[in-house]
Order: sequence, then structure tokens, then C-alpha cells
Amino acid sequence: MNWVKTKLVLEGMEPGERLEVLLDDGEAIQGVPRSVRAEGHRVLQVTPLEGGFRLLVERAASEHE
Amino acid sequence: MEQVYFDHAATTPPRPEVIEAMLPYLRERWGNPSSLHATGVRAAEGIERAREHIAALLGAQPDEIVLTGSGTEADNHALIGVSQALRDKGDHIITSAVEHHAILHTAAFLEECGLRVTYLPVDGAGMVDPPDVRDAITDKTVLVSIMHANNEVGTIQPIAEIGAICREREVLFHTDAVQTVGHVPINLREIHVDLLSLSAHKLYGPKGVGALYIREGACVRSYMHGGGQEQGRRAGTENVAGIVGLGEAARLAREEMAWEMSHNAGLCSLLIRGVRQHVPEVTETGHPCQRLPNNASFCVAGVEGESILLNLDLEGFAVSSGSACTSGGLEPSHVLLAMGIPPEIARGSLRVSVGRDNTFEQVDRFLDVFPRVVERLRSMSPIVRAASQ
Repeated sequence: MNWVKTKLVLEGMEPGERLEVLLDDGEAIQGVPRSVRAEGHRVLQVTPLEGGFRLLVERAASEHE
Repeated sequence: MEQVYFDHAATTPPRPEVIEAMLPYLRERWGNPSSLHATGVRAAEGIERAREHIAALLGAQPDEIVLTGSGTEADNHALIGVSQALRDKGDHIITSAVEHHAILHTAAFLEECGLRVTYLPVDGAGMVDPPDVRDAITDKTVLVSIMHANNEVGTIQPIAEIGAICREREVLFHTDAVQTVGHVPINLREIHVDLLSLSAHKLYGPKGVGALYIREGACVRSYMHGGGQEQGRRAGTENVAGIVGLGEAARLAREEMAWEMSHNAGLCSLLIRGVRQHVPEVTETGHPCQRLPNNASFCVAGVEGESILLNLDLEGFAVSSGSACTSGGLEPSHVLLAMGIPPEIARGSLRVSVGRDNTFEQVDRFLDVFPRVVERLRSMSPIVRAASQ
């Protein structure tokens, strides 16, 4: 569900815009960055937080279906 | 002969756009939305987009929408979930005497489980008086549940006022909005409602899908137990295509509500005027002003509502007598009896509920047929004949 919600928000953004995603440790941080890259977007930064991570993502210039 | 559907309060035909939106989720995107692989994710996306549309229609946040299998399930979830969550606080629920059976029978079940339920009376128009809600609340009350609009007589309840009372007294407020969602504006940012039930097939969506709005922070236990779907709030693999259909229906309803309200109100106004002019001894039921724009309800003296319904069906008109859920029984409607209408009058009840595809020509044809049907039935009625001798 983390990736699904992230994907829907990215779809509504302009290319080049950036999104900050807060993720729990575990399955979310393992799966979401991989899915972001697979969709063609850029993972700019992964910052550890207490109990989780902050992911900074840049919306791709073109849609990857 | 054209078949005219005038029973939109019972169910509505799925719109073509809704069906088109659903098909990919039956043909290609059939994955389990709980799966982590791409097949599952494609299905989950459909659910989350639908959730956003439903939330937008209500003025809610997407995370406040729990998808269910029906409006009835949403009603059960609200009453049972709250009573379970707050059983340390109290054991008292308040509702009204005119609720749908999904509320009344759930309340009766909770009484069997040891809870106390207050059934508030209504006036002759089917309206709950907000001071009655205030007077009924005790320190053991955990929930007030009052429907937004009555499915039989169309009366719209003062839920903003009731919600304010519940907020003031710190009691959760649920409303069964199955008849109103998608048909009249609802903005949950402006009125205090903690839980709200809706049903897809009442707003041109498919059957088998509903939703329960739960305000963030409201204390509710799960009703369906099992897997962690719906963020642990409602277990069960989701009816993805149905949910997508509900989402599309919600999106369309939000876009077209103003037009639809005006269209339906115009049809009902013409119909009610015509009945007043051409059919004697007919009582209009429900509130004259605070009512659903697509609902016209009557009691016809001297005849059984089911007889009218069957004869109108033979003439090509689908209408309802009482509510669809109770049409198998011969007892007068509990709603009409609660409004103080005598049983012998209540038995002649008729509900006409128009929709977006109905036309003024269809209403004209109904007004041509209906008086003749009533006259014919009255001529055969032993009650009417005895009264005239």
C-alpha cells in the first residue's frame, strides 16, 4: 500500500517535482525505493529517522507504464 | 410498451462509464490487491483511486474511507464496532423509529447482547426533533445513529443539528446516508458526523459494494476479522471491480449533482402536482420541504399499495410500496406507523423515486395511467364499496 499511495501522488505531480515519503522500517523501505526506480523516477536521498526512513523522490520526465 | 423505472430508491442502473471503468479490473487487473507483485499493485491502484473519489464526494480524507460489501455491512460495522470499542464507557445507543432495517435489526441484535437502545419518535413528517436526542443522551450513551434521509418517505433529518449536539455531549454520531450520498451535497468538513454509511448501487454504481466513513480518531472496532485489508479495519479480499465502479460513480455524482438535483426535483414537482389534481383522497407523506429531490411518496385511500404496484407494473411502471427490503411482507410500513399514519391508510402506501434517465414525458404518461389504476382498484375494493353504501 505504501508504493500504491506513493505512485498515485507521483502521477499527479509535474516532471522534476520532488516528493518526500516517510516510511516505516522493514518491508516498506525495502520495496518502495525499488518500485520508484522501476517506474523511472529518481530516488535522490534516503535518510534514516527514528523508527523509519525519509525518502526524497524526483518525478520522472516521462510516464513508464 | 416502454418500461419506465421509477424505483431509484431501491436501486439504480449502473452508468455506462461505471461499467467501462470496472471492466479492466475483471479482464486484466484481476490481481489480489494485497499482493506485493506488479499484478497485485495494479489492482490496489484501482482501489486507492476509487477511495480518493469517494472521499472527495464527502469532503473526507481517503484514509477515513473503509470499503465494505454493502451499506448494510457499513451500518452493522458502525453500530457493533462502536459498541464493542466503547463498552467500558457505556452500553446505550440512541436511534430513531424510522431507520432502515439494517439499523433497526442490528440495534435489536445489540439489545439481545445486553445493550440498551432508545428508539426516538418522529413527528407526522417523519422528522426527529434534535432536543429529543439531547434529552435521551446519558453518561452511558456511546452512539447516536440517525439516518440522513428516509428511504420510504424521503424526509431529510437535521443531522447537522444532531451532530452538533453529539459533539457537545462527546457522543459518537453515525448517519446512514445510503439514500443521500451522491444525490444531495454532503461536506463532512462542515457538519459533525463521526461515521457515515453509503452504498454503491444507490448512486448508479454496482451492487455488492459500500463504504463506511470513520472520522480520524473515532473509536471503532473491526467488524470483519481476518486479513489486514483496509488497514486492518475490514478483512476480506476486496471486490476490486466493484470498488472501482463505486469510485467512478462517486466521481460522476460530484460533477453532476447540481444538474441531477434540479432534474429530479422538476420531475417530482410535476408528478406531485399531477397526483394532487387528478387523484382524490391521496395523502402525501414525508416532509414537504426537507425531502429527497427524487422522492414522491403517498398513501392512497381505499386500496392496497401492493395492488397499485402490481397494476402499475402491468402498465409498464416500476414503483414501490413501502420499502424494497420489506416488500415481501403484508404489514404496513414501520416508518408510516411511526409517523402516526393509521394502519388502514398506511397499507395504501406508494413510493415513486425518479432518476437521471427519467423524462417529463414519462411523468406525463404516469399521470395518465395512475388515476385510472386507482379508480379501477377502488371500484373493486370491498372497503370502498361498503363505505359508499
